[in-house]
Amino acid sequence: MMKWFRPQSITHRLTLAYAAAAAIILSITVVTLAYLESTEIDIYQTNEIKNRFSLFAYDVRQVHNLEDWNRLRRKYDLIVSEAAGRIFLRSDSADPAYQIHAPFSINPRHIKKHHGFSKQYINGNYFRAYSQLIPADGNRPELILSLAVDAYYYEDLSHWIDVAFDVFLLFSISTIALIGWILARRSLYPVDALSVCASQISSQNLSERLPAANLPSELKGLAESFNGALERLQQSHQRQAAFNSDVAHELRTPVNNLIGQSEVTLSKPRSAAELTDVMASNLEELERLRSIINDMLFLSHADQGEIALKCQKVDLADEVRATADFLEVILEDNHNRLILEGSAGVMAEPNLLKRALTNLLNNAAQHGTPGTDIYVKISRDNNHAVLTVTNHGNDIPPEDLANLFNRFYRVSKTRSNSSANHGLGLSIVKAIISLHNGTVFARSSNGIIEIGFTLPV
Amino acid sequence: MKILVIEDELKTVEYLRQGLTEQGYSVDTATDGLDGLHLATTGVYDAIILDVMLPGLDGYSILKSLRPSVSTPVLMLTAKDTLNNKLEGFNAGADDYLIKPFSFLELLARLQVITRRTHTKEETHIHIGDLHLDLLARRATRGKRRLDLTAKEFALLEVLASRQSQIVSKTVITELVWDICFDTNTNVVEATIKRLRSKLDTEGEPKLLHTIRGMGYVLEQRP
Repeated sequence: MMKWFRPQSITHRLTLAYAAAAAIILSITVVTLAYLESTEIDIYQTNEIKNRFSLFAYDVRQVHNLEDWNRLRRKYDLIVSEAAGRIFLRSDSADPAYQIHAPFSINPRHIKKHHGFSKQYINGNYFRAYSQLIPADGNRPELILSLAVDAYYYEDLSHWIDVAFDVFLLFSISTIALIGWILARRSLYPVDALSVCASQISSQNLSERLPAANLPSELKGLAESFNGALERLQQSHQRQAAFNSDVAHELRTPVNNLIGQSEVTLSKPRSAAELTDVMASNLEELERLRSIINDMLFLSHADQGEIALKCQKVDLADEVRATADFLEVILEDNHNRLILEGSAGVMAEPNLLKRALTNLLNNAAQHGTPGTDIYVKISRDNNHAVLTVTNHGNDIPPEDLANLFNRFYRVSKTRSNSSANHGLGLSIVKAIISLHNGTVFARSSNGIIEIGFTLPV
Repeated sequence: MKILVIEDELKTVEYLRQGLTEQGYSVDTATDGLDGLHLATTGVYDAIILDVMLPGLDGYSILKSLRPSVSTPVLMLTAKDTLNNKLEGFNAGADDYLIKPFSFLELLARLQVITRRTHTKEETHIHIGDLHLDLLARRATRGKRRLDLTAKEFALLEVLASRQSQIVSKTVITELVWDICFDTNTNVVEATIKRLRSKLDTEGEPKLLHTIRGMGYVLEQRP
């Protein structure tokens, strides 16, 4: 309910807008209706008084002498007294005998202006009066006949109609405001529901999604975007968790060897030669640990964008040649020939690029069939330089291709040669290329393996 | 050569003291920042090995207090390798830095560089036993036998020969021979050493090129 009082609340704003719209439209309607109503009542009232008056006027016109007048007058006294103060008749004449007194007076000039009509207050009540000049006829002099009729009924009617309109107006506006509020609440209910759902999501249940299926279209987009963000968050969370467990696993083997070997050695007296041998073996394991730690740190810094690039223009072909020069012995030992084709200039940090190329070419030499050629093809594709390393070897299954650049991923699960290959090589390639806003790719078919990257030119 | 080691991790201090002493350095140690700063300002040292994380006063603060009045070369040791740390170290006036975990051989190599104690001073000829290197003609002979070496093999032999009797790590070899200063995770050094050895130490000759398992290689005449 607190939302209602918040100026920023959508419910509040919608309700106010509904009420304002209702007030404007209904007020115009009611004012128009009230005006029409009062006009109608006025016409009705006018007609009624005129009709009544014409009956009296007809009688008076038939009077030609005082005797008739007195008779008529007695009849009128009777009518007026029977009406019990609801009608009054007045006659103004120069001859006092033709005068009828009534508790109201008329102003001939005012009457003329209003076509004979006037308003009168008699005994505190509101009356309408109509006056007309009856010309002289026979012995009867000219006289002004006035009829006053109690307007209380019409006044009352008009008053109650006004009250009814006011009540109607108030009621309608508040009803519409209430409906508006309910509608707004109901429309915004899914937002609250989403908010509740979202607030319950934590790292423990990242797999939960907001229910987007039954949402109104306006909110569907929001929920879907939110779910998309959750999806990415979950993936990165899972990657992180997998990475941590991989790290633990990778470190466990060398640490295990170190502990075991040291314990075995120390449990009995050993010769210096034996001890030296164990120390050397331990050192090899430790070097492996150091290498893993350094590479993981590198990846972690690359992930967080903490590696500053001092990019300069480098020729990919030159870098490939330099890398091939470094790996010459390895290539020769495997009887691999390296064939380079094409060239392209890119902006890159030379040391990082060299590291990526070393990993790629070393990978090709290690996994390629001995005695086959390794092709390095550099081409331009729109705004990108594409470098592809192609070697012959056993096909990489599709499910492995997708994971090839993942940390600690090895195609063959064997741990042979693991001191030189701890499964981070290609993920470092990917990290370096990503730092340079490039992408990596891997394809494999018919014994041809293509791994490479694109870099913006 | 006198070295001051300011480091709070006792095992590290212990092995640094032993290792450096065995290499002919004389070593003073301090295990907290204030002691370290005191020794560094009052003593005369050829180089200071300075850890970043120290109780009392951290490495950067010590460095800032030392510079510019004390110009002793400083080698920083840091566990974090974020760029900011490196910049902070260099801005404060460190001469070089090493990221933990580091190898002792690497530390020795850096120490030699910052104390300018290099062994490759204007030498044009190196003799080790019956091995002779002509660094100008880029020629190597063993006794009467001319060694048929590739350019890289000769460069490798030169690196080892100029550090006669010193263990040279694979990292140093990669950096000096191929100018590559990152972990390559390749077997290039091993493979090149294997080729060099097959040409250098033939059947019946006394071995000159020795492998120190887990550490690196040493070129020397052994009795």
